[in-house]
Amino acid sequence: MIEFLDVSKLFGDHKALDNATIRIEDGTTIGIVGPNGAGKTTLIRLLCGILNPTSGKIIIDGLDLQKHPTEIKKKIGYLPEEPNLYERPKAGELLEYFGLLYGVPRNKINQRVDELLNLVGLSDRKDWRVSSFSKGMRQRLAISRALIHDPKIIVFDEPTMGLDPLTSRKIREFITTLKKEKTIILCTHYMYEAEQLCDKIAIIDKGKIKAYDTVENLKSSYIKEKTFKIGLKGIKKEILDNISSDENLRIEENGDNYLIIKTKSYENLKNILKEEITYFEDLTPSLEEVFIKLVGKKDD
Amino acid sequence: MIKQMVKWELRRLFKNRKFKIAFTLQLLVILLIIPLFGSYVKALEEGGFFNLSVGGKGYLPIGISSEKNSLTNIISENKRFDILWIEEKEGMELLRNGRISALLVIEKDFEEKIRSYRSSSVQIYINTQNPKSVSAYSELNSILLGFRDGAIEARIRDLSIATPNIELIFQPPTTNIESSQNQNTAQGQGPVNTTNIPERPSNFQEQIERTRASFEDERGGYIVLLVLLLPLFLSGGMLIDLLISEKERRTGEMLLALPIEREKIFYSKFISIMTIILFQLLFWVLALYFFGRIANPLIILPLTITAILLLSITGLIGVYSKNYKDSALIVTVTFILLFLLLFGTSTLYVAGLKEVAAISPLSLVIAIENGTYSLKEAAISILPSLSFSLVLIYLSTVLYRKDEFYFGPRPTISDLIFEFAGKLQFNRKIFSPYIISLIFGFIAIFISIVFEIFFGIITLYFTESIFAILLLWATIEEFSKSIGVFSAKKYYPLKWHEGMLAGMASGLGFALLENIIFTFFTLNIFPDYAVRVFIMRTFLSGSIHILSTGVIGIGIAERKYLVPFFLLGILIHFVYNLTVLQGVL
Repeated sequence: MIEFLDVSKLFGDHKALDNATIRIEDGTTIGIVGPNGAGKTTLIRLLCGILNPTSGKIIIDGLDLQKHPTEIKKKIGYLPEEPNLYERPKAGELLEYFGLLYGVPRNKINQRVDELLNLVGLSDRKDWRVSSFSKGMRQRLAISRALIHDPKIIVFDEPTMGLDPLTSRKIREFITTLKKEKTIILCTHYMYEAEQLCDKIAIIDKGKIKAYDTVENLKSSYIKEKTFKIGLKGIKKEILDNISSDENLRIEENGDNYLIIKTKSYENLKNILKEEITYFEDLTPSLEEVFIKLVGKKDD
Repeated sequence: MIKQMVKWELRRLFKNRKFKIAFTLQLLVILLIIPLFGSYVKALEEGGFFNLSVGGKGYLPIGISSEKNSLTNIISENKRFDILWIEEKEGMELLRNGRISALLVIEKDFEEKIRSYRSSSVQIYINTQNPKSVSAYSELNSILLGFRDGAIEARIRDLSIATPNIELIFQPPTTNIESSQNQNTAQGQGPVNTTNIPERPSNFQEQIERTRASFEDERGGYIVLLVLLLPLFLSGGMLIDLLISEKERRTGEMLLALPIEREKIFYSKFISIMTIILFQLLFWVLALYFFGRIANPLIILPLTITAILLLSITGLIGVYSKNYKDSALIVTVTFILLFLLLFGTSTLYVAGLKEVAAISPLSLVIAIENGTYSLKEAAISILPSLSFSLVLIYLSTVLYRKDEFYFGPRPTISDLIFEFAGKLQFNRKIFSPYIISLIFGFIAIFISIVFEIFFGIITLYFTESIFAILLLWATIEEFSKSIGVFSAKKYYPLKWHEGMLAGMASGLGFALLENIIFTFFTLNIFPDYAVRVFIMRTFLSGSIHILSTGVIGIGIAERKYLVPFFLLGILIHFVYNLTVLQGVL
C-alpha cells in the first residue's frame, strides 16, 4: 500500500505539488495524467525518494519514506522520462552495476541480467556499449535496469514518449505482462495509454490532484450523459414520439436513417427501439474529455 | 556499497577519454619539469646559486674589477660565469660593446672592511640592451643576497647582537649603463647592495657557506612542489567533472533513486579522486626519491593534506554548480586564489617568514625536505587545513542532500545564508537576532580574510597605497559583519536599537575570533608579546568592531538610513586603522 498524505513540494517559491493525498492498493496500476508542468514527475520523484517532500508524509508498506529511505527504495524500480544511462559501459556491465547497488547477490546477478535482457529483447546486445544503442533500445535497457532488483513497485515516467508506434506498443504489452504481479505507477501524456493500462487514474494540474478514480467512475462522474449514434430501418413518427416522451432521452441529431441520442440510460433507449436498430455506435466522450473538463484546456 | 561505487567511478574514469588526455598531458608536463628540476639541482650541487636563468657553463661573460676576495671566490664557483678580471674603465667599454653582460666593481679593501664589520660597497653595472644582462644581474644579485645574509648571521653569532643594523638598497637594472652610472653619481648612491657591518670578524666564510647551503636547499624543496602540485590541481578538476556530468546528463537522478544515503554518493566520488591522487603522489614521490630528487618520502603527508583541501574546495564547487559553465568561472577564480595562497605562503617560507608561512601544508613539504620540521610545525601546517577541509566536506554533503541543487532553481548564496540563519533561531525569540549576529560575526572573519587577501593584492598592485588597502579592509570587514544583521533582520523586524545591538553582537563575534587568531600568530612569532597583544586588541580593536557594526546595525534596521550609517561604520573602522598605522595607539 502506498499512501501520499498531504504531500507538498516547494522549489523556491514555486509549489510543484500541493497537498497531494492518494492511496494506491497493492497490485493495482495507477495512471498519473496531467498537462506539462502539472507536477506529475515531481509526484513520482517524491514516491521514488529522489525528492524530499517539503511537508506531508509518504508511507509505503507502513514505513515512512523519510525515515526509512533505503529500505523502501529497494522495493521501487524507476524508469525516468529520459533513460539517463551512462554511455561508456556495456549493457551487461550497466545492469550488473545497478543490480549490485540494489543488493542483488553477486552469484545471481549474471543470471538476472541475462533474464532481463532477454525479456526486453536485448539479449544479443549484452556486450554492446550503451552509446551505440538507439532510443528505443535505450528505453528497453532502462526498463530492465528498473526491474533488475525485482521490485514490488514499478514507476514509469512517460515510458513511450518519443518512441515509434511499434516500440511503444511493445512497451505497453510489456507493462501489461507486469500488471499481474506488480504495483505500477504510470505517468503519461497519452490518455488512451492510461485508459488501456490503468485501473485507476489520478488527474493532476498545477500541483493539485483534481481527480483520482477508476476510468469508468471518472467518466460517469464527469460526463453525466452518454451519446449514441443509432442506425434505424426507418425513422417512424411513433419512434420519435416515444423518445420525446421519455425525459431521459434527448435527440441531438435526426438523420435520414440514424439518430444521435443523449441519454443517462441505454436500457430505456433499447426498450423503445427494439428491432428497429440496424447499427449502434457509442459516441460517449473518452477520458480525454474528462481530462479537458477537469484541466480546462487541451494538453499540449 | 561505497566500495562498489568507487570501483565503478574509477573504471569510468580510466575509460574516459577526457581523463586519458588530461593524465597523459600531466605526465608529459611532469616529465618535462623533472629534467629542468634536475638541472637546477645539479647547478646547486655544483655550487651555483639557484636562478631561473637559462644557459650552461660560461654562458654569462662578466667583468670583475677587484682583487680576489671571499665574494669573488663564491662568484667564481658559479659555472655559468665566464669571468674577465679587468679595470673599471676597460670593463665599461666591454659592457658598452656587449662583450660582457655585467660589470662588478668591488672596493679595494672590501675583504678587510667586511672582516672588521665595516661598510663596503659593490656596484653592478649592466647593459640592458644585452639580453644576457638581466640573467647576469639576477645571478649576481642572488649571490650578493646570500653573501649579505651570511655576513649578518656571522655577526649575530659572533657578537650575540639581537638586532643588527643592516642597510640594504636594491636597485633594479637600468635601461642602459650610462643612466645607471649617472644616477649613481648624481644621487651619490654608489652601491647596488650596501652592507654596513661594523667591528670584528670570525668564522666568516663558514657562516656564508651555511647560509648559502640553506638558501639552496629550500629552493630545492620549493621546486619539488612544482612537480607534485600539478596532479593535485588536475585531479580537483576531475572531481568537479564527476559531480557535474551526473547533473548535466541526468544520470545522477538514478543515483538518487538508489537505496543509499545521498552523502555516500558524494563520498564515493570524493574517494575515487582521492584514490587517484594518492596513487599519483605515491608514484611521483617514490620515483623522485628513487632518483634522489627528494630527500624524504614523508612529504607525501602534507601533500595529501593539500590534496584533501583542494578536493574539498572543488567538491563544494561541483555540488554548488548546476553545470560546467557555472563551475568554470568559480573554479578559475578559486584555483588562482588557492595557487596564490599555497605558493604564496611557501614562497614566504623560503623567504624566511617561516612562522607566518607555516600554516600552509606546502611549507611543511619544504621543511620535511630540508629536515628542519618539528611536531609543532607539522601540527600548525596540518590542523588548520584539515579542519577547513572537513568543514567544506560537511558543507558539500549538506548541499548535496538538498533537492534544489539537482532539480529545482538553485538557491543563491544569500538564500543559503538566510536558511542557515533560520536554523540558528533560538526558542526564546528575544535573543535570536543577537545569537544569529554573533555566530555570523565568527564566520565573518573567515570571509574577510579571503576577500582581504584577494582584493588587497589587486588594490596594492594598482594603487600602491596603504590608505587604499586600509579603506578596503575596513569596507570588507564591515560588509562581512553586516551579513549577520541582515540575516537577523530577515526573520525579525528589528527596531533601530535592536539593529544596533545585533550589529554589536556581530562585531563582538568577529573581534573575539580575530583576537584569538592574532594572539595565536603572536604566540608563534613573538611569544613574549602575546598577552599584551591580546589585551590591547580586546580593548581597542574589539571596541571598534563593536562600535562600527553597531552603527551599521542601526542603518540595517532602519532601511532609509542604510547607506549613511553603513558609510559611517566604515569610516569609524578606517579611522581606527589609520591611527593604528600612524602608531597613535
